[in-house]
Amino acid sequence: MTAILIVDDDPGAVGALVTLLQLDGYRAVGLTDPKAALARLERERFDVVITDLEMPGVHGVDVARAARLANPEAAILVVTAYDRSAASARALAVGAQRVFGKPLHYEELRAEVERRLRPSLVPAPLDEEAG
Amino acid sequence: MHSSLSLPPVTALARRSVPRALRKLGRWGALAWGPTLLVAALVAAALMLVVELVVAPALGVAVTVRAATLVIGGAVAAAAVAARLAGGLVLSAHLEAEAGRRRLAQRAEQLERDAQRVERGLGLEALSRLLAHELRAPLHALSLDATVLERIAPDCDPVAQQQIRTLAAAMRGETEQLARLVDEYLAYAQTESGPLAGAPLELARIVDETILAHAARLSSCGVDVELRIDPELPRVTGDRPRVLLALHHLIENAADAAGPGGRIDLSVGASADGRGVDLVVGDDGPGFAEPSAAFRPFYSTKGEGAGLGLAIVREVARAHAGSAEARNRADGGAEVRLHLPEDRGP
Repeated sequence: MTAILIVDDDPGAVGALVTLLQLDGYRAVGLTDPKAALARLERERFDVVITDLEMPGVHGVDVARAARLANPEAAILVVTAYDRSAASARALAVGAQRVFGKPLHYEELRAEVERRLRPSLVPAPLDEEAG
Repeated sequence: MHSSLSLPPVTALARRSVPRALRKLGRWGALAWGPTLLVAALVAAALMLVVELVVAPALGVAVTVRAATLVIGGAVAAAAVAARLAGGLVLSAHLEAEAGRRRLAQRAEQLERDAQRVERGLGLEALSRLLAHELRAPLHALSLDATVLERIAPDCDPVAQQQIRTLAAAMRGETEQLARLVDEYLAYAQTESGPLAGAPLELARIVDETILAHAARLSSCGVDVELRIDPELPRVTGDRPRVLLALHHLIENAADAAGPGGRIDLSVGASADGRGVDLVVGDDGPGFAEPSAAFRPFYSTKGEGAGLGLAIVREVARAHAGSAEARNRADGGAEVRLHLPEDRGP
């Protein structure tokens, strides 16, 4: 099952996003502490990492970088209030693939996740729903 | 620090009684005079003594010594005057340096005030961005919460389901509107602060890009666009993103006013006074209720939108030392003219 890691210091945003992704059939893990996220990335493999940028302690750029190093094939997406900042450009430079601004259209995020996951999906057996 | 500018007497004396040529020597030249005079006098005295002793011993030693004393005394006095003169010049140079230091201190104070203003401007921009973040973050959570509600509505009975769906959709709509307000405000705040880039503007390209960006929306709304760009345009330098932003708002406003089935026109040409470029955007809508109030921030007769679009246009114009004007056309509709001055070069 596809594993998605969500990192954002806002518990409300993380909770809602985890719920929505779980409703859409993904295994979603939400963390509000970016340090904990770095540790988790070392222990567990995630297919998708969605991270905020401005967080206390560890910047989202470092989370994106760590995610890319941990899994070169992961889809790494950024969701941030400052979507046109230098930090966003930096995140893209270290391995993030797309930056979304806050507030987010959940449907757009999900569509992007599906798009990124599709090439790596093993063709599903006929009686199982894909995605 | 000297609080009065009255010159000490010796300097006044020096300035009154010393010929220009000597003063031109400056304090170092004057200082050199003292020793030079002294040495010259001593040499002269020594020569006289020698002459006396050799040529006229009959005069007697006493007379010779007296003569020598007079000469040496005179030389010392002259040297003293020269030294006082040099001291006077040194002092006056010192006073000039003081005045120069005072001027420098005033300049430094002015620079610090200016730097503080820049900092405040930048502080305002930073504050605006912070505010935008503080607003965007909860809007983000709210929007996601509303989406969750929409998704779990089917778990409820049909009546509740309908209510929840309606409310959730309303919540999402409102968060989106608030987000647009934050975007507009941030754009407005940024036009007032931050450095203005100064590169040659390819206005034809900029206009093309903006029209292209709006093309889909305009055609889906049924708004016609008429575009006229003069091939020969005076050279204009400025900040490309800001000009793009201003054009974006001009076209948005005109399209909103024109409405479905309406038309907007955009022309770019040399201004009538020949000293710049005019970007004119017009529409065939109802016209401005109050053209003089058109650029006022938050003045909006539209239901949505924050009413900052034209305020942004005016700020961009000002940032380029240009101007923006709004008027109603004689045959109906409204028109906004953004004037950007020509760059005459260094």
